[in-house]
Amino acid sequence: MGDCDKLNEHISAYLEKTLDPATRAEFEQALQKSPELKNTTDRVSQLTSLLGKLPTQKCPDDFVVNLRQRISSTPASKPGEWNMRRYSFAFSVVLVALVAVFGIKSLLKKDEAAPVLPTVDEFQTAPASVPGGAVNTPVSDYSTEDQLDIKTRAESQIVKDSLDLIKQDQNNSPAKQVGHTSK
Amino acid sequence: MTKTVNDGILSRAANKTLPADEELIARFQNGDVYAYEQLVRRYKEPLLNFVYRFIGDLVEAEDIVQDTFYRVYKNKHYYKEVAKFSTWIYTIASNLAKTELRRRRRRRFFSIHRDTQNEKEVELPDLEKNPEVEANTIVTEKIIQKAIGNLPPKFRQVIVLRDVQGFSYEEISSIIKVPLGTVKSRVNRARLRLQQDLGFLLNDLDDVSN
Repeated sequence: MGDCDKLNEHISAYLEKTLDPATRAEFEQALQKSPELKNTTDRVSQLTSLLGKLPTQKCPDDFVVNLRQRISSTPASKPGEWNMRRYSFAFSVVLVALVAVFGIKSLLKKDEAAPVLPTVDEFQTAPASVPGGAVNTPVSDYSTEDQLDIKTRAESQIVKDSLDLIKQDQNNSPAKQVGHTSK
Repeated sequence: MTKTVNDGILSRAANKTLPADEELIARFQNGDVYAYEQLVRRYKEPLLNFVYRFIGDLVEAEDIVQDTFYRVYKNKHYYKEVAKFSTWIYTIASNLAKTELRRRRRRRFFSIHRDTQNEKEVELPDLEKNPEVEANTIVTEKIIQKAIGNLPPKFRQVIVLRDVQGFSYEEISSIIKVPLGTVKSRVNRARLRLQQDLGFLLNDLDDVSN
């Protein structure tokens, strides 16, 4: 503690006896060394005493009568009036929130391009062994790296997994033939 | 002269037959209008003094206190026993007083007249008894009120609640919805500012008492 402003901050706490013992001891030392601090502290003490003794103002004699008249003259609010106000306020808040959410969503959609996940059909190539004109073109075993236009590793993993599932299904079904594409 | 709120609390504590504020408001919420009137009589002067010291205009302070009680009457069901009744009613009064101050600032800005306050005529005390003391008291009070009025509203509010009305720091923190540390800091800064503005008065009073 050495700074005048810092010491001034402790004046009220010192007068109200809420300073911790160490700080109080330091403050008292500072009081002895600084006449200005002592003068300020004495004035604050005097001031708080004076403020507590300010004369009190009296209410006029007809205060309660006037209040009663005011209360009795005001029409009672309609049963649903306050509720209507609250509901309309709540409704407008919800509306604003919805507009904000949709606004943010549309902004986000503009920024990110929707990932184009290739469909299963894009991966189908007609193996030589399959006769032309077949209705169900078998899914061939192929390397995805050459044929996919995938931006992120996660997206490629999703596609890979789904292809593996399809492959598994086909392997389980003995009727279908699995061809091989050449790289 | 004693601090108005604490006096009321002490006398109620002494007289155990007097119901607590929370009991009165609960009765009022159940339809007992007499309980409401008891609260009005209990709080009208403490609130008047708080608002008057805060905005500096007695006529306007009376209107604000009327408004406060009117709102208590109309919105009695909003009071929940989580907070003290005194905190609730002082919060209402404080908010109304702040609104009035804001309105005045706008009025003063747009008005061509500088003096827009309606000063109620203050009844002069009987100066024949002890003219010097009475006159000094009035002058002192006016000077102090002027100095309080020169404080920024956030300092004025806390110094009136703390040093004039006698509220604890915790109660003030609940009333004005400001952290405890901030309340203590504002009170200290308000006191430092006031003792600076009223230095001449405090020195005179010191000389008189010595």
